[in-house]
Amino acid sequence: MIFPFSFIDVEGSESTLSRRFNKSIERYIRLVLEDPSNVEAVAVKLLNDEEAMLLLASKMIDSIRRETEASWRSYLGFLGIVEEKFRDAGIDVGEALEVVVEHDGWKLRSLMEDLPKYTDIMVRFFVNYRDEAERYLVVSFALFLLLVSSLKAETPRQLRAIGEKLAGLANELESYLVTFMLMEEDYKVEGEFEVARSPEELSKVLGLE
Amino acid sequence: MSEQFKHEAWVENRFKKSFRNIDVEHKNLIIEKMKQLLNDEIQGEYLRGPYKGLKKVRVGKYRILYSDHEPCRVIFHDVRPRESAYI
Repeated sequence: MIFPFSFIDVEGSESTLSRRFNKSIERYIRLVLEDPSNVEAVAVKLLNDEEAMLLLASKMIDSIRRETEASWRSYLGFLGIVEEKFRDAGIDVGEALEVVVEHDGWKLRSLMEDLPKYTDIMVRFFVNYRDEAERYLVVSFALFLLLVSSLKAETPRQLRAIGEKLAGLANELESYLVTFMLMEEDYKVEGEFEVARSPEELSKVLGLE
Repeated sequence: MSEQFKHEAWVENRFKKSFRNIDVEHKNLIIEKMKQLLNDEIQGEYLRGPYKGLKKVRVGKYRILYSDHEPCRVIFHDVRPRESAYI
């Protein structure tokens, strides 16, 4: 999911491409609504759907061509609607959505500011950590399906199940996000430490005394 | 003598440097989270790929990077602000 917000239109300006993509994922949304806990398996099916993936690729190219800021605002608007729907049902998904936005914001910034570096990070990750990379795709697509499904959920029970899954997968997404951030800066452990064994020693080490 | 942590805290210089620039309210939250980690009350999640030995845990607007693969030792590598959601 390169530009998740690129295929979410919330301001009534849905393009033909968006309509085709939305149509192609309808059956996946239905499956998620039937059993949100099975969302990863549905995401794998979506990833293997050539037509949907071709439409998604087209959407990605289209979104790069279009004004990014407007797409991003539209995406944040979509997430606001999602959060409100959960909030109305007494479910707090704020922290999960924060992680999703942080991930997508980081990705967008990386793409806009230094595309070769972003590509290098992704290629290194996908080549050297194949299983984890595949899981990253599944997590990303599962989150996308959950977000879209949440707007179509009709019962609090459905929404609660979606919310629980959303929280778990957002936590997992965060592990990938932090990994990519560290890869971006070529982070290395310093190896110089101070040791604390009690709260007092910790305060001292942290310069609070 | 004060109570000891279950594990030793090994605080990397980078962590100390980052910590210095954080506001008091978050400093207190971060210390509480560190204590929970040092007493096995909570667990963070592993990172992936080249950093799979590291773990992360969220504290408000910040994120602690640490590792605990060595016995009786929690190594605090860094504490950094989470990226702004709005670009």
